Amino acid sequence: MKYLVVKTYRDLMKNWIQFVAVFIMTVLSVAIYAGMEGVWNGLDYVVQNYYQTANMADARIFSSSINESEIEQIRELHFVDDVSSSMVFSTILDNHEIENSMIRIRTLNIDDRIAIPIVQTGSEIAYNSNNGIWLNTEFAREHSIETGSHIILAFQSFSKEFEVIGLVFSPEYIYYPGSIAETVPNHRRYGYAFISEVAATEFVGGVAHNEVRVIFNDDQNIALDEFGNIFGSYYLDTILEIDTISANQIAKEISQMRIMAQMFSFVFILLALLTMYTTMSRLIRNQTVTIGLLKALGMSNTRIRMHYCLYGIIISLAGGWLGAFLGGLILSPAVIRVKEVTLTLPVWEIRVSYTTYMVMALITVVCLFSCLIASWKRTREMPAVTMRGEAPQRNKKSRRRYECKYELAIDFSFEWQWIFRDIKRAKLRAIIGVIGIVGGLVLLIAGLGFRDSINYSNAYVFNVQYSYVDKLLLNNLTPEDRTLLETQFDDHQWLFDTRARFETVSHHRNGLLRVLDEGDFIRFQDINQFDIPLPHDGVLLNRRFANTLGVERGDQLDIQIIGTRIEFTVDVVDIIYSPAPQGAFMSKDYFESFGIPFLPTAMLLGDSYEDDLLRNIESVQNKVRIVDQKNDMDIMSQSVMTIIALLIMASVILSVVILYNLGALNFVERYREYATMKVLGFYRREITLLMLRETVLTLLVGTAIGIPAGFWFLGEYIAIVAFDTFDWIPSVNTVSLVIAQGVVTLCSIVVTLILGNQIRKINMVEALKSGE
Amino acid sequence: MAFIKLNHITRSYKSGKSIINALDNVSFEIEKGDFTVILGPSGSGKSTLLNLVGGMDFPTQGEIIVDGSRVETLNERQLTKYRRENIGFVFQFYNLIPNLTAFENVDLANRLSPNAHNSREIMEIMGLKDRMRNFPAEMSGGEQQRVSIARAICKNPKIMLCDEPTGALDSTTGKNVLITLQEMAKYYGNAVIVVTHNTAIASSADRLVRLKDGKVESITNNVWPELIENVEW
Repeated sequence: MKYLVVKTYRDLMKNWIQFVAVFIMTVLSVAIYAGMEGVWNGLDYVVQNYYQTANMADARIFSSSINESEIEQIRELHFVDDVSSSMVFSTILDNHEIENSMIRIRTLNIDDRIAIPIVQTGSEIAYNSNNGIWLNTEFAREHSIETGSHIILAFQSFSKEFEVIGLVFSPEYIYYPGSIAETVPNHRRYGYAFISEVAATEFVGGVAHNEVRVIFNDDQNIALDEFGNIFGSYYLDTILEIDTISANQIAKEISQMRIMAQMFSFVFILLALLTMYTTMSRLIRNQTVTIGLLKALGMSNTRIRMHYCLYGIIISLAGGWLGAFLGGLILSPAVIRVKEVTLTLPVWEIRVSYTTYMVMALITVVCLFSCLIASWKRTREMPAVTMRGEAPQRNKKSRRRYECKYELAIDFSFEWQWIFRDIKRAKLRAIIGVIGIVGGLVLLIAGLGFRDSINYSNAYVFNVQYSYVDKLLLNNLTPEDRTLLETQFDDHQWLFDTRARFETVSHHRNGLLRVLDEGDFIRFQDINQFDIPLPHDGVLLNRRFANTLGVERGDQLDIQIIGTRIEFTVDVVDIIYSPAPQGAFMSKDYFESFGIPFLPTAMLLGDSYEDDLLRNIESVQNKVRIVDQKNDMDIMSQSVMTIIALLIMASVILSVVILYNLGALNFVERYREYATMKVLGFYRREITLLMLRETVLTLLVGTAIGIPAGFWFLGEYIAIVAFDTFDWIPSVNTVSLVIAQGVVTLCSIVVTLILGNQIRKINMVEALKSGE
Repeated sequence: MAFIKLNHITRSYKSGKSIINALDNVSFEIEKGDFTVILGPSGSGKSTLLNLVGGMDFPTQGEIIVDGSRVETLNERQLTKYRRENIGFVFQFYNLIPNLTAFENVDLANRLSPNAHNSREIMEIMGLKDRMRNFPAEMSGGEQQRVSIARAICKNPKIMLCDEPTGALDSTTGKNVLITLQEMAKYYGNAVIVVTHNTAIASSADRLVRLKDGKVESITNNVWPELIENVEW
């Protein structure tokens, strides 16, 4: 009906503040979901595309010796579709710096069809090139290497000059921290490259394959044990592609984004629902006579309800489309910037799927239903019934109390009586006010607390947990070099870091196994932050690591060092507070008690030494300064700050919108009462104070719920978004808490004062003209 | 000097390009204790006149002198003080605060005025002893209007302004309300101004001002005003 549409338009214009609140929340909820979904869906799509282009393996088998016959045996297995083998080894880039850069080399031959690198610039893969190398693009960029540049690589005592003839990307290295002890990819320090077997032979004197890549066919009966049988004593390990660090990280990042999007969208959808309901309830209550008139004119209840549902549909559809647009335009690029820190992809795509449209549809349905519910009761009643108004509810109990303490109740001041009764009369409105405060506080505490938690965790690792200055990374440490190092550096501690598989009856997980010699450069604290010594009869596990394994103090754990056949069972002595690195920590003595020799892979130094002292020690592969490690972490933290800034912005918008909407709603509903007070002779300040009292009450209740809820939400949020390799410790410092509370309080009070100022504009004559 | 003096009051409103004079050069005087009735058809400017005396609106021209003070020269804050200490309003639609009980509505006004009467006493006088704890929505129209009058009286204002106080009431209740107002003028010495289009109460006024099209049509002073209970409604 034409005039109902005109009425809808004019109602929307007249009540725009309330509808804008619903609109903003719809925009935010869809923008967050669409923005996040665009990234995770795009990431999934791009990764799958690359996997397909590169013909990724389903599994990688590690063996210390591989020959043609064994490859053929694998090919004959009923579940194998294709197989190829290669030699993979780590080399050092000779760039005359003591802080070496490591390049992981994989050889390629003409039969290789699995996990082939994707050439981005330069020549296609040439299997007979004797000095060409295909280097990964990011590493090349960090070292200003271009196609045509020459680089010298060293492996043990071998060395060879290569010409960079192509820059490549391999989907196997989308997440590549380079070392088990690292968390964030460092493209300057760790790279990967591909050379032909011809070049490898020239480089290291021959080719000895140590990795097999396998693609499975459709046969579901995959028997990984078969690989062990084929390789016999040379067999080391098999890892499914989905279990690799890179694939795991991608899955984790996708899952993180999905959960974050769902959590935040849910909060905003809930608030949109509540705001829509209160707005429509008020609108409909104010239009009781209009509804009666429309009914008197012969309009059916269904048509009237449909008319009111139109408000919800218009607002939610408009907000949904704008949200989807803004999500892709603003949020997705911001999220991609964060994800680029950990994941390396040549191209990122933003792709929303049907689920974003489903979220939009859900919001529309939610708004529609809130309108329907709000209009249902009023359309059933006749105006004569509803026009009489509703007395504040008073049960028998409260009446008795009121009668007994009559004088006392009066002395409680009419302002508070008024506020309490108003809350009683309009519970939902009061609840929304509290939700606004709680929501604002929760999101602000989560946003600021997330930043604090990252900073606190970084500071904990590098200021409390570690006290060394430099860390030397060692490779095949010879007894001579060990003696030399011990002689030159008094203040030191030996470490053995390795990747291991940890297994309980029900769970298994890969992680770091760190064995420590005597020394105090690494401090351990239990979950209550009390210092504990490194035990000599068991291991220490990080909290997150222990949780994922389902392990507690006193439990036993099977450990297998990856790439070897070394297996042993350990006792878990304690759970430690440390956020990173995630894994198990044991003493050298305990490690050696299993008959395994302790061969250090790193040396921690208490002081900074001249690089010249290290230059001629062959076993020293690299030197890492703790300052640089901390800087790397700070860089990653900074990238997360974009998301945090968005989160804080959303919190502030939420607080302002909800509180302003609520304030405006209160103001409109009490317009006549305020006009009466003005006529009676109340000063504007006195009326504003009355409004402020309600604000303070809402703030108090909201704060009492919001602060604990904020801490809880932060804990849950961090548990979800933290990496498996770095478990951020939830922490909110006092300043952040004061800021969060301050922002919410300020928003509430400013909104109240702005509305208080509107009292000046109340036209007493007009306001009191009619009872309508 | 008269307690209330309206001197050549004009109140104009713009309506598109034309100007409408809601009040046009109105002058008259009211004394303390007077029960004044302003009578006129709809649109004659009765409510506008009341709003001007009550400090809720400003005249376009003219002077409003109340107890020696020029009301039209007061600023917003001074007007609030003026209303607070001098004016008691009674509205056609009561305008009670729905969240406060009858007693609290009256007591609210009591707290505003330095010379306020005892809220409970006033309510008892108004016959609301048993309705003190009721909310407005639990009361009849007549009871609500009595609460509204009690609220106005409780402030012990110098002027009671009543805009169609019986407009929403049945004849018996309306009569009772007017009796109360007439008594208030006598007992408390308030200047009570009642705006109405009900001609039946004309004979009960000490002073009757008839308005028509924004102008004073006539002013009548009744030396022996009729008691309202004797008036045929």
